[in-house]
This record gives sequence, C-alpha cells and structure tokens, in this order.
Amino acid sequence: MTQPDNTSHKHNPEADLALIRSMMAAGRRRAGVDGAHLILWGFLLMATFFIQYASVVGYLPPIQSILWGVTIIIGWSGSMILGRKMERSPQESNPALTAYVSAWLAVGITMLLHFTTSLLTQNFDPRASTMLSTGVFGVAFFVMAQVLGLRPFLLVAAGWWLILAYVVQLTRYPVEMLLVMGVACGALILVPGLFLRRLNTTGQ
Amino acid sequence: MAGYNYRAIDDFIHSRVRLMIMSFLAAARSADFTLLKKQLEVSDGNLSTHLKKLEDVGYVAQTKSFIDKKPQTLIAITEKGDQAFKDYVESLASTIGIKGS
Repeated sequence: MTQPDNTSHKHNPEADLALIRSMMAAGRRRAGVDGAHLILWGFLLMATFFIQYASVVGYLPPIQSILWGVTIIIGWSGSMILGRKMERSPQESNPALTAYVSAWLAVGITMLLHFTTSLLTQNFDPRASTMLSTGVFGVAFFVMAQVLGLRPFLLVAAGWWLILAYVVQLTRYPVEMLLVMGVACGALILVPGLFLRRLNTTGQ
Repeated sequence: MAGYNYRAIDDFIHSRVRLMIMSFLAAARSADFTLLKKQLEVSDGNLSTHLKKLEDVGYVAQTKSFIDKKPQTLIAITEKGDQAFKDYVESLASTIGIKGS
C-alpha cells in the first residue's frame, strides 16, 4: 500500500484553512466561474419581468415586444464581452469550464430559438415559455452543482424545477406569474451569481 | 488552541503542497500541469512527486493528451479525492470549532 510521506507541514489549523480558502478562490478564478454572467442575466431578467408586469397592468405603456428584444440584445452583448475577458490559451483545457459554458450556452440558444420562433409565428405562449425557461435554468444549475462541486446550487436547481412543477399544474397563466418570475430571477440567478462572486473574492 | 485530532487527519492530503493541490482542484475541478506548477510555485519534480502520491491513492487522475501538437497533462480531482478533501476540511474546521465549513 502507498504510504504517505513525512513532509507534512507544521500543524496549524487556522493557517491551513486560510491556505485552503486562498487556493480554492484561485481555483474558482481559474475555472473562470466568477458569477459575472449570472449577475448580469439575473439582474436583467428580474428587471425585465418587473417592467413587463408594470406594462401589462398599465403602469407603463405597452412595450413588451421591444422590452424583450432589448433584454436579449443587452444580455447577449454583455455575455460576449464577459466571455472575451475569460478567454484563455487554447493550450489550457478545462472540462469543468467547458461543461459550465456549454450548459449556459445551451440555455441561451434554447431561449433565443424559442423567442425567435414565437415572434415569427406571432404565437407567444407565456406558459410554455415559463416552463421551458424554468426547466433549462434548473438543468444549467444542476450541471454547475455537479461540475463545480457546489452543492448549494442543487437547491437552486430544485427551486427552478419547483416553479416548473407549479406552472405545469396551472390551468390559466395569471399576470402575477411575471412577478413570481422576477423574484425567481433575483433569488435563483442574481443571488447565486453574487454568491459565486463572494466565493471568488473571499475564498470562503 | 486545541491540537489536531491526528486520527481524523488524512496524511495523504496533510502536506502543504498536496493540500494546495487538493484545494485548488476542489474548486477548479481540473487543471493542466503547467498551470498547477505556476499556481503552486513549485518545481516540475516536486509537483510530479506529490501528484504521484495523490494519484496512487486515487485522489486525482492524470490524463495525457496533445493540444495543437503539444503534450498536455490534465490533472482532475476524483470523487474519492473530493470526498477525502471535504472530510479533511471538516475535521480541520471542527478542530477550531467551525461548523459546516
């Protein structure tokens, strides 16, 4: 059997925990997962749902179609800018980062195709849209939890799937669901993004 | 300050370099050899020795491949290594009275 060597350093639990924190923070930065995309999209989607609600109930003029177009343009442009910042040498490969980026890219493409199809066919079904988005958000957070070893993100995935289950059993789609989705985007995208940012800066 | 509970400490992780490797990989999940060497500021030989020990107990896995015709060694933390690292951090945290590290 392999034996441990005798190079164990001087015992100091506090110093060891500090070392672990700083190395884990470096590891997360290396993975390129700093929460910036989640903060961007979480804030953007939360704001869009609240503005849409205000527009639907008459507090604002009817701007829903323009609103989502602007959201998609800002979101994708921001994502591309953030993506360029985290671009690294092709010499480096990181399966975890690839899985993370692929999961969110799949979410983005799925939602973009859905909205484009809805616009082209002039047949927008908010219930189907909510079911699709909550389902793919849940999958993306599930993938993040697995590949980054972040167990709290399993709860975030479960949160999205709970909303999905709730929407599935609705017989009609109330306008208040826009508020629910706004709050959900804040709590289940923006907050996890801030959590990741905090992990990167404090290493806790 | 309370001392370590030596029986609960994983000797395979409890070396400064290996602790750094495991901490880094626990967050990054994988990294190539050159990056790890740069991050840890250790020599090729030193890193190889510590990686071999971790690989022998199944805490990390090394995969050799070619990217743009250049050799690359990718080091990834395994499930067993992930669990061992979590247990290590738990026992360390409990030593100084931190719950749910």
